[in-house]
Amino acid sequence: MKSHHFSTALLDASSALPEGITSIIGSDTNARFDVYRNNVMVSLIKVLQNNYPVVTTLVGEDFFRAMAKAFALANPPRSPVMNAYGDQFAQFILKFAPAESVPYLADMARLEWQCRVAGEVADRSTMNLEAVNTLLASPEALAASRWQFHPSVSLIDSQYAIASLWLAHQHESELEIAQALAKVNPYQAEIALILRYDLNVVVKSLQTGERIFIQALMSSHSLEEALKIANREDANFDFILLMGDLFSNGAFIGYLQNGGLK
Amino acid sequence: MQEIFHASLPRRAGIGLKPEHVRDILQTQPDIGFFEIHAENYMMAGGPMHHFLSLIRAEYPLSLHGVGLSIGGEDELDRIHLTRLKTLIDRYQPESFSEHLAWSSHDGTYYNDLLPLPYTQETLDRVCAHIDQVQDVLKRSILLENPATYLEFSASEMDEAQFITHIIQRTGCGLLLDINNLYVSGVNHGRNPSMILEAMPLDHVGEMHLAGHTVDSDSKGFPLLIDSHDGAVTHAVWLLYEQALSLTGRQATLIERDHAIPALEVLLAEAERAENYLAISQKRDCLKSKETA
Repeated sequence: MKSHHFSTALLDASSALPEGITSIIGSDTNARFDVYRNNVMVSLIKVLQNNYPVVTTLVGEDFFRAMAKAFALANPPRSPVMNAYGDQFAQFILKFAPAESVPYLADMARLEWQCRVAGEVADRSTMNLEAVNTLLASPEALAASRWQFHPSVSLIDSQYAIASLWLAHQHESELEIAQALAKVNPYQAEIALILRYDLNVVVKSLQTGERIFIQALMSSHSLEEALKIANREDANFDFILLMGDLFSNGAFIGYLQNGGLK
Repeated sequence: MQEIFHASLPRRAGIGLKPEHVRDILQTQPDIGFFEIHAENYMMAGGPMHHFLSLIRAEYPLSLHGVGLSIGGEDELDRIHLTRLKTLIDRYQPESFSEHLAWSSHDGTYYNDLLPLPYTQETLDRVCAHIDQVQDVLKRSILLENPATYLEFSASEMDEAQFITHIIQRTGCGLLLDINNLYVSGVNHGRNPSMILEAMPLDHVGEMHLAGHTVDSDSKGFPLLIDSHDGAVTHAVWLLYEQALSLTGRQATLIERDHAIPALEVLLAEAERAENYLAISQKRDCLKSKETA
């Protein structure tokens, strides 16, 4: 028996059984091989369902299973770490014609993937109050400071209201979810901020200026430069409100000064 | 490093650690022998999974159970995966690490299932080389679990018990005796599970597993048991467990449940049932040693 034949037959239900497999005389060898075929596919679908719970809810379990199966056949895992399986799912959904009727599905998959990543990145202590106070004492140092985000922080731009949709689906009961969804216009473009604070993944919808400000900080602009860029692009940008929000969600691990992290 | 394996899990009943039970466990601190986790579920850098496992680890013995090394595979072992495993073992220092006599990867694709292999001289050499490599990297002996199988191979030159006995002799690894797997495979291949049990290298058992299975039959009416891990341990498996304990004495025993996870209390009650069997087996051992004295 070569594992090659066995593994080919696992993913291709129409292919002949590998040579050299046996079972009790008179029993149904096909049915026995099907247990393995079924184990492989059902378990991979379950992994994807686990990694993409909101996508599953959006399309329903039956549809999701069919889509996940098509994905698994085209992109079987390359690693045994199953919580990291499905990083290509959003791209797959984008080209999966039957899913076209839910235009925001692929972006929701991107968001759920980032949530997963945010929940698993290395632990880093967030910026402490003392470091903030030191900085606040010197306006010049504050203006020139370059801020470091927690490794879980990421942004997703979407033509759809993915952050609001995702948040609506976090409610416990079906009623609460329905009530929250009633307030969301899915076709409202949104920028989602994803991060982990303490043990929880946090998702927020950002205004344009907020997104520009965070991106400027991420690309190593100083606080003053980032502020200038954001104000230029978005007259409504509220610096104090955003910084308060970012601080209270542990978005920063510190700021760079003289080459060191404070 | 091929020294004889000494199990260091307590010879008590344990249960699988499920994320949905963690807060409950930390709050109620149940009296349980150990917790077992799947290594592959904890291979991320940080976050809540590690946070809670660290808290559990501080209070309880830990068994690390791998499902992805593909020890029975034709591919070379995945070195990156082995390194991830080493990192996890260094981090938590589990009392035991176990893996399966099965393959799950071929040509770089991972199938997320424990697949069967023929028992030949060639596969024996390869499995032993893989276990040597694992034990060298991890710097400890591992326990190898007998598989639940639905098929066999005409190429096989020996039975499972002989194959496992050779592996243990050559590599110095121990046996994770999965009683449910033994029962499922026995019935699926038309053999007497009791007799397979007796043929196993029982002196090298370091842990036992108990789990539920699903009873089905194929189109020709032959029984087909599925190792589903989604329900209570069956009566037949408890009986086989009792027989196993009469041959090995007390053993660390895991109640395995991976699907349709019930409330924590349900798993604790099944573990208590296993503890009752362990207590009976210990009483019998005492009587035996008195007789010999």
